[in-house]
Amino acid sequence: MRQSFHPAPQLSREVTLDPVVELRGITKSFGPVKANDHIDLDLWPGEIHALLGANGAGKSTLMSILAGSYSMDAGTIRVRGRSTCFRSPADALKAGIGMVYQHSMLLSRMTVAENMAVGDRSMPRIVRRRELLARASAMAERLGFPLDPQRRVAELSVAERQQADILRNLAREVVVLILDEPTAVLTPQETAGLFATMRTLIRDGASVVFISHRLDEVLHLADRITVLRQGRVVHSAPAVACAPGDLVAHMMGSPAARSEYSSPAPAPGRVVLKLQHVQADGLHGVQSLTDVSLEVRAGEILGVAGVAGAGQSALAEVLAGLRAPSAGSILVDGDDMTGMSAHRFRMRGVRYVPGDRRGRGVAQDLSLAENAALTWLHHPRLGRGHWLSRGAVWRMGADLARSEGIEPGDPGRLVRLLSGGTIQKLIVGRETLQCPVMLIAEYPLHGLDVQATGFVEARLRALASSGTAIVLISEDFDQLLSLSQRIVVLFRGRIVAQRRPEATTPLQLGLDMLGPRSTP
Amino acid sequence: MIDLMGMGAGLVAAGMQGGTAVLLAALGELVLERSGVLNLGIEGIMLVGALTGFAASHATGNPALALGAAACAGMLMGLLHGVFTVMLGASQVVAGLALMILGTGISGFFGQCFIGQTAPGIAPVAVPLLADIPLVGPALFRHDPLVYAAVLLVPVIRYFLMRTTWGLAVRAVGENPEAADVQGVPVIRVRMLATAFAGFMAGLAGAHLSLAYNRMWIERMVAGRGWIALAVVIFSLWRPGRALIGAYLFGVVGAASFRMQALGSRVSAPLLQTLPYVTTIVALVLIAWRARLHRDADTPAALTIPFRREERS
Repeated sequence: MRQSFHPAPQLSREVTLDPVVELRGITKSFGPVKANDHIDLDLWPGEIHALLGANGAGKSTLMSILAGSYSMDAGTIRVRGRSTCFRSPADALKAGIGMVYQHSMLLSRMTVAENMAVGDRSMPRIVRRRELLARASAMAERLGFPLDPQRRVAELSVAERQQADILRNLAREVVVLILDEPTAVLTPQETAGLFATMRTLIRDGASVVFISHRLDEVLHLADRITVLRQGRVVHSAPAVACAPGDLVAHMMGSPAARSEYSSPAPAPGRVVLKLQHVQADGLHGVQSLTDVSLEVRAGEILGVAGVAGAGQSALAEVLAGLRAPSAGSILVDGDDMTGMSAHRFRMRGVRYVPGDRRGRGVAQDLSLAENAALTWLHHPRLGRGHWLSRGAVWRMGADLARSEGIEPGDPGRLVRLLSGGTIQKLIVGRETLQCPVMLIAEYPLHGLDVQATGFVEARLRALASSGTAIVLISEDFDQLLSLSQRIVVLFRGRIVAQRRPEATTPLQLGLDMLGPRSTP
Repeated sequence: MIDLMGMGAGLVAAGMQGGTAVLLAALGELVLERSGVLNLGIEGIMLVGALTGFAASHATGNPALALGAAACAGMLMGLLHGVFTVMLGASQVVAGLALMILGTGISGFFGQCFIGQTAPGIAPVAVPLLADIPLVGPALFRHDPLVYAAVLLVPVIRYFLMRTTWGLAVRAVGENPEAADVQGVPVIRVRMLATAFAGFMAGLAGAHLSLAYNRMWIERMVAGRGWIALAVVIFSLWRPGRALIGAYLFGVVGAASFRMQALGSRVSAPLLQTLPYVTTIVALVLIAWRARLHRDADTPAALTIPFRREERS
């Protein structure tokens, strides 16, 4: 049993000029999407290394590979100069690399102390509770966590869980600790506490990798910053040499020639959607939307920008009738729809393309045809009342496959077997079968290949020109700027900026997304 | 009065004898389910164990060797279940039912030539001194070694699950295999070992029936005890102590209904024979209901869910 906690004591004394971890040529694909494309990255002892990038840039994938929970398609990992191959998280832990995932990877019915012992081969076979508790308390105290190791994880708050997750990694004497968007769920005070913890860790010679979208935090904390975009490293430099504007530009892509965003002249139709002072409650007493007011007109595409978790999903759910606002009102075509069911929103002509395609957009174990019919079950074409005609469902699937160019177009094929892009075509096709009054498109192009992207973009434009009011939620500036006529920026549940594409730049949007304080 | 107490002692003794097979199988299944795997094929494994034990004893004349053979046969069947469900991710329910049918079939087929045969069984061993205590001795301390072993295993398994790092790994894998994996627990290996252990115990349980309890081979002699063991595990809410109560209750009521038949009760015999099954289930349901009220359950959250790393939609 180890008596006290010293992450990598040898490193704190040694003046070393070699990196702890060297990643070379890391490549990983999920189906057609290259999540990581020949990534090189070095981690040095005693540094906080920030990984920046938009959603889907490949940060989490890269770190999951380093932590052993994903396999890589190509590349090499060297730890302290020695080439290694991680077949499991256990291998990575043995090499001293631990990760705190975005979704807590703790055993919620066990105590904090037990979580710190699970999977640790160096523990004596017989668990001596008192020693376990003593060790856990000592480590918690060292990091200044007011955490009782006897408590079950299920009873802990989000911030406490994160502390427990850090502790369980440190109990394994990791020399590299990866934190995947650790501040996303924390209050400002808790964030400050976490930063203090990170500084304590590097003082002991460990390296910390800090994945984030929040530029202000990264600049405040990191020693070195690496920016990923579309699976590649586009920038890597000491933090002191990084200017916020440059980083945003790297995250968003080349800021050149943005004048091409000559959005189609807005044909101001009637006001279709009107949100007035809407609030929505989130988890843990944090408001996910605060005082949001906006209008969308017929034929208009309104872009909604923001870093992940800025309230986009709450907004989408409120607009689709899936979540009732706790205050404020929603008017669709002048009718007050506040508090009405999602079904009533649908009947009113409000259609929703959810961001979580496989989880919320389709029923994966049903066929293409059944999924096509799923949101049209009361359509007279499909049968009478509650009686569905199988033939009509089948024909609907076949028609949709033909009109949307879905390959393979077999209506009986299980949706589980289709690719993400094909599923998106199915969902978009289904929701726009009849021209909707309003369409909420949540990350509609995320992870799609070029062909599917073109298809969805063309569909959105066509709908707008035939009078649909569209709310486009996205993180991709190019899409937002080229598709929308107006862009609102969400930050912590509030609208903090309104921009017109022809009068703004990706850089400006990027700064808006980071909140009012960061705007120069 | 003495006679009544003597009868009571006899009933307890018979109950322990009759409940041991259920208890052994239930303890194995309990550990397995704690690791997140459900094996519905216990009945079939017990049948194979019963036949293997009997056949080995018939051939070698060595009941200890026969026990080992039965346990190994059970373990192989358990591993077969594990290959399909744990390694290949097949449905645990379907694989378990298939195993049950397989076990019933092969034991019936290969057992034909052993019907009516005899083989040396496992003899009772009186515990020195304790066996001589009046009433208590004959009731508790004059059994075959497997009965004692089963009782001793209850605290051992409890200790194993709650106080060793292996037990911690088993519980971790049964609660959240993704989290366990991230924390360095070899999920597949832990689950495979658990399937082997459950098979081992079910094999032993079957051999107890054919070498100690009945001392002969009868087709389908397990007679639903495998299913009772499964019920015992579920209604014990995955606690070994409660599993013991359930298993012995089954044994005692079985012995009692047998005695009622022998005493010439006017209740129909088939109806009496259902008594142990019905009583056990009812009692266990009551126990589980009470425990749930007090939130005193250890339900493995990942039960029946196969684990695969890197699942991503």
